[in-house]
Amino acid sequence: MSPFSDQPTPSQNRRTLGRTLSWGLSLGLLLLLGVGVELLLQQYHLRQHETIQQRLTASAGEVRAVLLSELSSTLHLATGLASYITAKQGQLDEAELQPWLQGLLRQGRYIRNIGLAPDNRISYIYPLAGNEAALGLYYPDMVKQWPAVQRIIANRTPMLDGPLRLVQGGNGLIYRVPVFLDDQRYWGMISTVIDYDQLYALVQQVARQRDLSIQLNRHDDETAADLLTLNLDSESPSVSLPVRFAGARWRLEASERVADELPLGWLRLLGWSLALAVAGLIGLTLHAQNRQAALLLALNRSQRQFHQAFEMAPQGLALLDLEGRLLAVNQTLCLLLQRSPQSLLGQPLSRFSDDPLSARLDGDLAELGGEQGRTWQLRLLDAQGESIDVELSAAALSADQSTQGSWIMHIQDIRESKRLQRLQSEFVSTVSHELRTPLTAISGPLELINAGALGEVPESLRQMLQIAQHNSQRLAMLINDLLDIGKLEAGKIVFDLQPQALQPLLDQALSSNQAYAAEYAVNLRQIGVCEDWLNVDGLRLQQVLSNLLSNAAKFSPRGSDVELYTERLGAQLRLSVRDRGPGIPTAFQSRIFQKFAQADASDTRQKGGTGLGLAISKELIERMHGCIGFDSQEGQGTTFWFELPLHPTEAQA
Amino acid sequence: MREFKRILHVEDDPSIQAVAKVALEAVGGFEVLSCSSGTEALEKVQAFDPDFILLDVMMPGMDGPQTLAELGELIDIRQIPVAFMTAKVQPAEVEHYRSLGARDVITKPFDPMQLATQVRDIWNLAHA
Repeated sequence: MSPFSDQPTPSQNRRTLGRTLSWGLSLGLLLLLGVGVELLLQQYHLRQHETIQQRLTASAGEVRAVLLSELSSTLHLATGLASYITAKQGQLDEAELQPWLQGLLRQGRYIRNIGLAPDNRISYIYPLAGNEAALGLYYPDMVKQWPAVQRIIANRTPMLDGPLRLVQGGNGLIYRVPVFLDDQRYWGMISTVIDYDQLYALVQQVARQRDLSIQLNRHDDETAADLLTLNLDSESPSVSLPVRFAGARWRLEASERVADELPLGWLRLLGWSLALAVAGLIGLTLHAQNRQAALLLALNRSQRQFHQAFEMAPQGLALLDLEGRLLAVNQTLCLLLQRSPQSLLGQPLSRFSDDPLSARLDGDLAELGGEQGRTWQLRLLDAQGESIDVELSAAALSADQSTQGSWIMHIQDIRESKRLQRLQSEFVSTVSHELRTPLTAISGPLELINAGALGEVPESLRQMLQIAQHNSQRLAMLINDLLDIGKLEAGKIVFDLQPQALQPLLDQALSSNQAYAAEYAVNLRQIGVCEDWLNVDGLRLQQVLSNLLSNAAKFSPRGSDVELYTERLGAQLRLSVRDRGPGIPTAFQSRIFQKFAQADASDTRQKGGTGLGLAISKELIERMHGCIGFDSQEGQGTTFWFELPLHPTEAQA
Repeated sequence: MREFKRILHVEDDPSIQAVAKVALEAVGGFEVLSCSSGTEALEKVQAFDPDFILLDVMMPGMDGPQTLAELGELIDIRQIPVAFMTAKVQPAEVEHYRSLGARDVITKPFDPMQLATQVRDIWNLAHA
């Protein structure tokens, strides 16, 4: 039922541990994320290479295809020539051969020349111009070429040789076709020289179009596998493609002309930055959580402290909900009422009171706006039915707080202070009463003497006797006021509230104080006439009016008026007494209704009065369900006023 | 209607007794017999034959109301008005004294110059 809860005490060590853990965790996370970044980068790298390889292979394949197609479209012409020679049984007719060769040369773009070597001697070259040196060459005499030629004849298969430096200059490929006649007799060789440089330029052009840089290398090692080889580890990745044509073995080395730069450095930087950011964020979050946990613990500790303070407070304390039911009670309250917390909780406080005032408590609580507190005096009953006088003070807990209670209430046992108050009142009453009797015996004779009831008073005694009488009257007034305030405080004055017209009371107050005012050369007068009725105790109202009028007269400048007037304020009637005096010093204004309050101690003697008049007036007016106040500006005079409820029939009129 | 002349005053305090006596005799012109206790008053009342009786409420021994009750046995208090003198003048208390047979209550401390007038007013009201 208690709004507080118990928690273990937090330790400083735990906070430090939590902080270390949170930062360690985020460092670990950073490393983990870093490893992840590296793995991702590796994957990306591989994928990139795969793509490059595919692209490179495809492009290089295209280049190879162009090369092969150019070669075959050129060289099949030589094969056609071989068939022609076979068909002619080796009998060459120059007139017939000439246009043939011219056509061949036109069609085969790269053909530099075609030579015919019956019985291995080059006896015919077309075009002859520039190639005269080759004419008449005999293969068996050519040490370098003869083994290759021999192999061709033996294999009866055309072969491509080169690239090699030509006698005529430049680089060329030589395609040799052995010609056999129908009777299987070897006729001789057709040798087609291809302009390698021209062909290579074309291939290079095709490669450039595909952003490749290529190189065509001889590859005469028969044992090497004709496989595509890749070289990705060098700075720019490359492929090596086998090219085989009519016995020639080459390799096409291709690499990307513009190497695709892998922005790995940037990616790595980005990845690590992200990892750092994430780890940092998580670290911060954990740190914040850690702090929050520490705050929560601190809050908890302070809650515990407050709970303890609430529980152990030497005064009765309670939390009440909006309906005035008890939500929490402390030990002192339980002890005071001699009841268990269980029997109190959930019940309204009025349940433990036989005081008629307690019924109003709940309503008062609902009315109480919140900011300012309020106090009540009430009689509560303990478990044995014994009554306990208490003073309750309540303050609203602001609505935005999540606490259950809407009111905090302080319950103070005032039996002892009430008893003391009563004793004090009785003492004052007794003392005053005992004082009054001898005082009457002093003032009575003085009054009789001064009034001349006992004969002429000698002039020499008159002044002294008058002083004595005046002061005995002052003493009587003081005793009366003391008795009044004592009775008021003890609640011994019974008010006889009667509906009555106000004007006669005002007339009486004015006339009975006129003589007193005259002593100060002040005139009391009423402005307007009052036709209203009030529900008041006439005598007590007179007492208040006398206090205010005599005060006003005392503090008025000689020759001025004190004005009495009334005005209606809703269901209230306000009576005001205005003087033209010096006003009430600001510093004194807050104390003016306190007992024995006087602005200046010397005023007592100078102005007369007990310092109890206003305190008594305030009590009297409040007992008649009214309120009293004043408006004053120093040097501008003072208006004392009080408000009392109009008689109901009057108020409606 | 009988003449209002003699007043029996019962008061234990000799000073107050003296002041009241002077106030009623010198100012009011009455003839006053002062008694210091209820017992003394009961002893002297018939011999004095007062027209009006003033009774202090608080007295040692027999107090005012008791004295009034005893006086009622000796004289006709409808003809001879009795007034209490007391400091306790709450409306309820005044009602209580009236119910005991008192005509009125004179507040203490009294004004010696007014006392005779007050007494005469009560007497006049009683014989109106």
